[in-house]
Amino acid sequence: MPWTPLRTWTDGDQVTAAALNTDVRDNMVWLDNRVDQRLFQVFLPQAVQSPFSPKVLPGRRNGHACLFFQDEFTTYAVYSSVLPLAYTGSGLVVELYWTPADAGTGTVAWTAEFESHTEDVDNLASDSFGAATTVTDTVPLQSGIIKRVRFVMADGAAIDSVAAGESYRLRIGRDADHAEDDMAGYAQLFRVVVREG
Amino acid sequence: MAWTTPRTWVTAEVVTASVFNTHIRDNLEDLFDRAHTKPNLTWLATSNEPPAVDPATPVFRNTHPLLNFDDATKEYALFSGVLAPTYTNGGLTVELHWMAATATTNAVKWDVDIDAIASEGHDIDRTTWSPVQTVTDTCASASGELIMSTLTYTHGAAMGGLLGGDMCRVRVARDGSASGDTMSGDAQLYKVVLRET
Amino acid sequence: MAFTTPRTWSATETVTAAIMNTHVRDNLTNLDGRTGTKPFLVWLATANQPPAASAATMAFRNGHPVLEFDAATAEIAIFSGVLPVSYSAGGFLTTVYWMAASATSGDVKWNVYIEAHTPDADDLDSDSFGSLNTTTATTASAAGELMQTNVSITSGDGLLAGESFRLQVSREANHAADTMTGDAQLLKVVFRET
Repeated sequence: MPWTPLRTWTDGDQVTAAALNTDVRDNMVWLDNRVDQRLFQVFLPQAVQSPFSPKVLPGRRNGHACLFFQDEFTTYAVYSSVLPLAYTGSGLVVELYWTPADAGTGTVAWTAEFESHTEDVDNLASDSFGAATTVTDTVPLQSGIIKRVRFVMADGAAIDSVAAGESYRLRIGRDADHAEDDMAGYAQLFRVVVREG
Repeated sequence: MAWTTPRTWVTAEVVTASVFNTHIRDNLEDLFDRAHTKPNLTWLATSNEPPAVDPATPVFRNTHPLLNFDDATKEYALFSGVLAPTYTNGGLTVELHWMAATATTNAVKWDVDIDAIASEGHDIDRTTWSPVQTVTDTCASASGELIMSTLTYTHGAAMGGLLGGDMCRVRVARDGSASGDTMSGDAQLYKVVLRET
Repeated sequence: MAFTTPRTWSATETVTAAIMNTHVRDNLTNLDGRTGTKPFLVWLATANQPPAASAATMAFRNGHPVLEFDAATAEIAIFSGVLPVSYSAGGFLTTVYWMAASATSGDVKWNVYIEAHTPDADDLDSDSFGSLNTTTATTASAAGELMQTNVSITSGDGLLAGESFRLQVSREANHAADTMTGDAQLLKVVFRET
């Protein structure tokens, strides 16, 4: 439902149901659907923290920084931030912008896991990622075309119960051992976005 | 448009156009202006992804990381991001925070263009820059003091067709050999902001 | 105040005050409370731009990049950004996300300073941080557990929307109120509008 530029009311107007439905009802619905879309975090390849082995490999493609995820065994990229206070508990959407390094066919199995750092509770001396969510994505028609794969993760256990204002880490992996991961060669990751669902 | 605390309606009152305009039209307009999160990306000099040819030179000045742009050879810096999906086609503004390395007079000509990388369509192996926008601004009255130069892009082809949710790059260059660029010595780029206008 | 699904208006109906109050007044009030983009800047330890002297030390703890602040000598970290134009003069708050390297008790005194960069006025060749903002916080019950310590900003150096700025965080380890033994490890800093 699009936004309708607001009418200026005039004395003597007959206020019709149609006018109220367009100017008031529909515009309020539009606003209600948009007012909470405030959380949006972008992670570039350079932001990766790779404490895990085997490590994802940094590289470039036509000058664009990217991370190389191989096809032989699972590799991870870890990003770290704080969940903004704008988070209203609707769950999080994680989006990966990727392309295959080489032309070909097949599917990549991507995983996403959150690790929340609850104050005076979680000990950072050991990892405590929540359960992984897996999404598979088929290669584009041509290597170089960017695909955007989306994880829709409900509030609560799916995101390790990260709360507004909490520190967290996000671990992105290519599950090369997954039954549906059959794309040969590297998957190249260019951006990761975290936003409210 | 200023917000007015929503009025309490009273049975049998005469509702005038003025009341409707203030409490419905103007308040909905104010909410519209505030409702969506206008995209706002900030890059420091350290975020630069230097191009292979004629990159700006990273330096420190009183521990502030900067990028030096020569006053003769055209040099470039590149910054990467994602335009938030809350972008509402309002066009973009780029702000350059910069200072003179030594000069206290004369102007610098900045060229900025945008690379829109749409998912499912654009080949990342081919780079297509938007038309260049330029701004020529006089340096601060003292070397070491910042100037903020602003460039605006109307929605559409002027910004390379960039849409909300797309990956993007912003390329900043100093056209030191242009007739309007008269400042001697390096121009030092400190920060870059990309936001919806 | 809850949002009520906007009603569909009907021709010739009598619009009552109650209807207008629910569907116009209250819904507008609800939307007003949910709008606006208060600036919320996040820096990791890796974003530190270390000062020339007394810099906090970069380290890793279980793969987490941290900045270590000594227990005896005051040490400093500096972060840089631009205050978004959406700032509506509501004031600032800094939150320091930190943990003890080894201690399980004791307090740390965190100091925060703001340096605003007013165009054509402030010379970046010399530092010009504003006045002290400070708080003292007790460490978590176990080393490795995070604390989120808020430092209210009463001196923002006149920082305005759209301006470049730096934020300096330090541990005043030699202050009498700072009693925690061992390093304080800073993981992240948030700077936001209150």
